[in-house]
Amino acid sequence: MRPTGSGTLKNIVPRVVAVLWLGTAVTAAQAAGADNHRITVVTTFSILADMVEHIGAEQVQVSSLVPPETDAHSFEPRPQDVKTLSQADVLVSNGLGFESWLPGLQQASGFKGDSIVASSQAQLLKAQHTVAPAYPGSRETPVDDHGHDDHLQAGHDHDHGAIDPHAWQDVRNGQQYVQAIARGLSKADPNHASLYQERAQAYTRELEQLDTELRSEFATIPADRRKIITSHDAFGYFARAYGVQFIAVAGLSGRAEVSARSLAGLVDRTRNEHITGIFVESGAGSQMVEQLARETGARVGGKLYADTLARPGQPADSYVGMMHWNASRLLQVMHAANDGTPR
Amino acid sequence: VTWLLDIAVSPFLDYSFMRRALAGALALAIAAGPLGVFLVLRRLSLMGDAMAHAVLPGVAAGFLTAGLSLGAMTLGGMITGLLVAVLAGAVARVTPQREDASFAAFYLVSLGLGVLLVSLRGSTLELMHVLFGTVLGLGNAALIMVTASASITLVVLAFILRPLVLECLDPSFLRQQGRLGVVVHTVFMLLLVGTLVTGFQVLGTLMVVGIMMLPATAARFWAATVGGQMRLAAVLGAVASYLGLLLSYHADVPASPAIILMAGAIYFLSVALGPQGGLWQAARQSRARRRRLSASLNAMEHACPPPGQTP
Repeated sequence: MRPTGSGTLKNIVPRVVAVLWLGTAVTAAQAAGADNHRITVVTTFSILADMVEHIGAEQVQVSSLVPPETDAHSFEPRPQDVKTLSQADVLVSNGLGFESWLPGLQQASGFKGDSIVASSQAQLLKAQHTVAPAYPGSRETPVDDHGHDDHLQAGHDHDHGAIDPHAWQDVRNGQQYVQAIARGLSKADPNHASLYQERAQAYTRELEQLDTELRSEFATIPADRRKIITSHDAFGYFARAYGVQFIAVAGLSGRAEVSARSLAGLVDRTRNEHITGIFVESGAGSQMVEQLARETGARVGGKLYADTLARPGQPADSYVGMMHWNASRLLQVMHAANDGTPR
Repeated sequence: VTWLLDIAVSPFLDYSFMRRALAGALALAIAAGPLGVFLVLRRLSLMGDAMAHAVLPGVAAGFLTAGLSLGAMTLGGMITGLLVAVLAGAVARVTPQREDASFAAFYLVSLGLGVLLVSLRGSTLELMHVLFGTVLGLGNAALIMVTASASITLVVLAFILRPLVLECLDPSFLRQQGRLGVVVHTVFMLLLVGTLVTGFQVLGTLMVVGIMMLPATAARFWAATVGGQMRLAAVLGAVASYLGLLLSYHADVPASPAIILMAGAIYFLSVALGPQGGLWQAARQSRARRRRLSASLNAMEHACPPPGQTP
């Protein structure tokens, strides 16, 4: 018998070593290449930035134009933002007219990269223009949580005012956002497409779980305890998804100076409709709210995050964290009212 | 009578925020009116404006460091308000520039600085609250502060009333009395800044001057004496506050501008009808003068007819 067996064995060891070595080298080169070609992604606000970070991870460099804890509605782009955008490979925006300042900024920066509109596949809602509180003769459109048949597809109408742009407040739409962002990133950076898709799948599963959890938790509260006053009508999607009735009022939001008449109307409405809690969106003033609570005995629930995340390190500093935070605030007030704990 | 009650009283019975607003506005008006009378007397009407704006950067700085904390904002406002008063006075004394010009310069700078500081952290909403106040959202702390400040102002004002009137009418006399003039002037500035700072909670830094100056200028058309003007200014300010809140309630308009517009309406009424130099009285006097004049002319004509008509 010729000693071929041992010869092969002898030959195999260095080969395996060589292959292993080569493999590591290639991976290292890939990693180095990836570092060199990290794509720069600019998002319009912090929630989108968080989503991009989940999907892109170390393959992307994310920054948000509107920083956390800042109202995207009243955002004024600064020269630095023009520079940031001009150097970006990918721009992720919400669309639906949410970023009214974006077209001007895009023009000023000469941005030529890929543009991702995160809401492109979301299930949309008509905007509820709930501006005035209810009193005789007032204009009001209550946000109603049942029987909506005005679900619209994106692309139908991009005029702000016709469609409520805060679509991410429904976690199912959040999943659509994730898909849209993953598709866009894959297109902009095809080398890592599979990575993006993989992470997007995992993230989507996490969001599905979150959605189920929120639905079941709110379902345990009797419907008449799910009435909440907010300062800003940003929760239409949350209302539709989780069966919470939000009554948004101006005056509390400070876009209009409040009159005694409208505050009185609000007091009446809070008393008559047995509103469970009053929430002020992060950033809005609190004196009127505290007054309202003093007057009616409704609970003040603190901050709900509508279109911005909290600063890093706080519970609501990610999309999932924000949805958890909002739900837990709401549920706390509702449970307290449900148990009939003295106010 | 019932409908009158419905209109004038029941909003205050039904809603505690109306009662709080009324209490806060009344306290502010009763202290601010008499102070305004002195500003009018000393021809420093625009100084109230300047001081109100001077308060803004301090309030903003307090807001930046401690958030919506009443104590920090009040302290900050007091500091910058007094600082501007001292600096503007110093510029007027040391340089040939007159006091009104230096006050104007300082208040414009303070306004710019204040708006910038508020915008650094707050939203436009918070800026609106600082500029226009939250009379409908007065908490216990704000209410206690404004009533306490008003009480202190009135008591201290009673003590320094005599030298203050003297200083207004004859500044050279008090100057001869040595330090007393300086003390009185300083105390008056303290009261002024204190009232403006606590008042910004109620009407905002832009509007608080209105409840100080408008009743004071209106009172001048009704009362001849300083004491009378002070009492009347307080009463007119209180009436304007009450009517303004009612207007805000029934006409569905923001409260603090409604109060100031009511004070403005009272001012215009006073200009038209006031017995101390009001328009109506001036017209009547000039008509009477003309009648007297033409009567005496007639009498002269009868006494000595023109030369051509002599037979």
